[in-house]
Amino acid sequence: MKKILLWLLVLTMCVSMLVSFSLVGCKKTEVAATTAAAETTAAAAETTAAAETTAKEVSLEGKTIYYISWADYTPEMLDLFKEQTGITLNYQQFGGGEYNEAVRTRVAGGADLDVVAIRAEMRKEFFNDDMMVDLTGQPVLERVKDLSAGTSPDGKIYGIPIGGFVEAVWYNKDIFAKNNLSVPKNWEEFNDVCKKLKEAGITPLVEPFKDVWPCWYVGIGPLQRIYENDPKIVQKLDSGEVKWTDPIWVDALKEVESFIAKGYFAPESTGLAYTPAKQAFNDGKAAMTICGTWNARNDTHGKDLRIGGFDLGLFPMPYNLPGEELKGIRVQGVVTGIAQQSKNKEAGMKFLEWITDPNGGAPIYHNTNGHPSNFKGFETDLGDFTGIIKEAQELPGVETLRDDLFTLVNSSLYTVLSEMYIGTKTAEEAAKALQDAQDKAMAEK
Amino acid sequence: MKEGRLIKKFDLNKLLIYFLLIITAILIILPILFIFINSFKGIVDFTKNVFGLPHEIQFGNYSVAWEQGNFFRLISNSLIITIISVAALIFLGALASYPIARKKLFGGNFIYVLFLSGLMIPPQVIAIPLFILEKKLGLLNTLPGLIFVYIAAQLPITVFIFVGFMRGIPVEIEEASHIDGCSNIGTFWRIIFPLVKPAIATVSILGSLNIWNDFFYPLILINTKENMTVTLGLFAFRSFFRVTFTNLFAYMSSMIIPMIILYLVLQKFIIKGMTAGAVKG
Amino acid sequence: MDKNKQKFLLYLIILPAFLIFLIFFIAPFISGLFISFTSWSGFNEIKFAGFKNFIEFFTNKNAYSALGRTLWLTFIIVIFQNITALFFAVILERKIKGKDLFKVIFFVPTMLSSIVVGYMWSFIFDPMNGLFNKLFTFFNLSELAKINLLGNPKLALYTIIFTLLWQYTGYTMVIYIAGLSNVPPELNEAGYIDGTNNWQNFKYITFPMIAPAVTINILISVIGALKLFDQIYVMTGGGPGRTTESLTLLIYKEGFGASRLGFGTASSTILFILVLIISLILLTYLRRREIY
Repeated sequence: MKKILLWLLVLTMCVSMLVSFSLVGCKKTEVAATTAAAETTAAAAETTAAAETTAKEVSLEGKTIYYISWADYTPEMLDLFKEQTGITLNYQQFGGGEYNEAVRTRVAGGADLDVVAIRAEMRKEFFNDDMMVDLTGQPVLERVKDLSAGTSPDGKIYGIPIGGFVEAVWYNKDIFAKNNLSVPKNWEEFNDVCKKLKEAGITPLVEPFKDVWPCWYVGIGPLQRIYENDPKIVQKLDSGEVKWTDPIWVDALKEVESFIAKGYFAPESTGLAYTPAKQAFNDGKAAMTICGTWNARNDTHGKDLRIGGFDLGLFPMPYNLPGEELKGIRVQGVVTGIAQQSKNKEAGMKFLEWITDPNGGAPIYHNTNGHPSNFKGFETDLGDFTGIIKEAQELPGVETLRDDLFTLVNSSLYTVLSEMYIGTKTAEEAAKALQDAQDKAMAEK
Repeated sequence: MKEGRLIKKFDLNKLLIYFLLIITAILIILPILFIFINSFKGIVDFTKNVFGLPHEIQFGNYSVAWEQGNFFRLISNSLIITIISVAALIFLGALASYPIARKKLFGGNFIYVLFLSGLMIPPQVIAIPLFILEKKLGLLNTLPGLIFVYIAAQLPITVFIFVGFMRGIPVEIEEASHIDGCSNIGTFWRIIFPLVKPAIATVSILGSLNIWNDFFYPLILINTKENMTVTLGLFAFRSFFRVTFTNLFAYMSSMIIPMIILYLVLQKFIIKGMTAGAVKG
Repeated sequence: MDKNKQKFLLYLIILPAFLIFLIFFIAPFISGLFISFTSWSGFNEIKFAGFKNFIEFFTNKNAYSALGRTLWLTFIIVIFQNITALFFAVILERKIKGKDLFKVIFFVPTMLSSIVVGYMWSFIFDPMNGLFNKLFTFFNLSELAKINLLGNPKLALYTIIFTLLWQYTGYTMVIYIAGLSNVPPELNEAGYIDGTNNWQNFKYITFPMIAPAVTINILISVIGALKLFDQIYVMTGGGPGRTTESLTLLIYKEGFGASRLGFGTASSTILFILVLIISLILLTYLRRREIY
């Protein structure tokens, strides 16, 4: 089918060429006709050439692997991989909201794709044998500390979480000291700190809401607590035993609503992308910014970027009610696996081995990204940041609810929270929209 | 006395008009200048001094943009796509328009209307099926795949312009050539094609601009770094999680400046070409 | 016999263009119509769904408000783009020093890629470090500097509209100038002798004479605004919330982002019907005006 159509196209091109060429009644025009015809043949030749190259690449097995991820890389990292394994790494990076679309079009389009990073909201769709290679039992898994984010509900492992993070609040220690504030240990104290800062005329928080995903931080406190109280809540949602419109969710969303109403976030947040928002914090325009421990890098919060070189601190996100234990909300980093459509899975496996290897790619990858490691026997050297994030990283952990919710409602979670933030949706409407999103996602499967 | 007042009033008007024109001109130039000037600043210089001149001119931004953004590869992709598509458009479009415009063919009008209906189909409408089609044809993620789509997408406006121009050519000219013994196609090449030069100019300018600046089709059809066009390249470059703004400005300037230079050199031709097409229709 | 051959040849030379157009434009369009009646994620099997997607479109608040937003945006763009362009065209048609220079400058944005323009203005409107913010801060206008042009749910759409006007008004203006240059100056002079003023001259003499330019400009701006995607995608991505989500963006998000191809193509079919109806109405109305 494919070939026939292709030939048909080439044929029409040739026909048009012949028509103009051989049937010209008057002589002078032949030059114009030949040049135009040459152009058409060139186009046709290119079509066939393209068809040939796809055939050729199969024979180049083991030479190039295609990797798509949202994590950062440097040219040195690609060079090191090439040097140590002999394989060329074609690294494609997509950040922000475009990542899911980028992966989906590549998978649906059958593009060259070997190693792929899977976001939480994509797990349900991707963690099966049609989409990803089952890694269960592979020796490379031995090196990983925590595999839960790469595991499907039926216990198979489809990806390796490269980093291990904790949701946290980065804060300006100088501002805290000036206002006699201490580090909050629970949700109430956190609200209290925000209130005091606001009363002192200081913007408590700044977030890059323009990137949409940080809108989760609007609801992180009350929503995460639901999970704490009922670890099975996501399965219950999935089976329909619990609905989004049930009081448990609506009440939590109402609490989110009232937190928003307090106006602790910088009003500029909705217009800020990631880097400008972090810069606003560095410039001392807000006292805190909620973000994971993945920001431990010099080009985000380095001393020379912080105004007056202020003292930087970090505390784990205090989502818990007073009297309850504070745990670190664990976010497993970039979950990386091998796509089923990969044309050289061996090379893809080689990449997984290399990236987890303390003598291979682990150091350069982690240092580039400022990611605390999720691998046994390897700790990322994060310079000054190691001390800052240490306490949060070492807390007893709890899984983030965010990632599990994504598997149900897709990125609607972000959009709905952002609509709540700007006030176009109330808590009830938000709950209804989320239930809607889940129903539609189910119907489509 | 009365006349004097009139002149004064007129001058005030004129002053106001000049004021308005100059403000608008500044509004148009300033953003472009802002990007250009800031593309020579270091990142610290940029954050501390957004709208001043650079303290120290840095070309480093350009080398980063060109290397990491794979700029020259992408710009040559864009060039190849634009040139081949436009050449094919002129050639195929003119050929197809000739019978539609000047011959009474059964179904000719239907074909014309079908072509024109393409003017009303936004790219988003065909995006999803087009993606599936290109996948089936193995054209997804290839330059020829994009070229075919651009030819198809630009044919409606091309045929529209060519037919409009060709209908304006007096019948007598063509008849004379028939008497000379030329066939239809001979007449087309010898008589009609040279006479529609303004249409060719219009088609090539409009087509080149539309194709060169297009972002949507590559966004859905291209998915490797190597085959991106320069507009999609900018988007991908921006998507790097922590891209440095000054590097991005360098990338944008590298796209803007050649366009503006080209425009300044050819401005009479370009403006004329772009309006001729619109007004003729 | 020879005549038949000639006829056959004429069909033959239409064929290449027509085939490419058919395969890469009309065929996807028609199969899109088919997909819009199915429920399909692109990976699973196609299931026929009847009018479900269309019903959902008109019952789903996100969808129909995107439709309303698109119409509103189109309306504003068409009005402002044409009035501003006509205004400058009339000014620059007069004998003014440096009018060619202004014409050249005003046309510059037309040459730029929409995504470059989108990024350019997002940097300028950045509420913390953008040019806009710094400029007002410099002049101590902190209230103005605080305006969050792309982050404010009430303003974001209008900020995008502004950048569109910035980019496309020059082109519209140039078409009007071409139209105006066809108006013989004697006509206006005749008007002055009859005692009409500038405005009356414009209304009764110039404006009817440039009717074809008005038709084409309105048509171009309407279709352009209905198709609008790049700038919104690049500047706000539909946010904050969904306050700038246009129909085209909805199609893209549903179709490629959420893998709901059936609903995505159904929305795009509605967009097509919209474009078709609006342009047919405009065309009949404006063409009729041209005759009189």
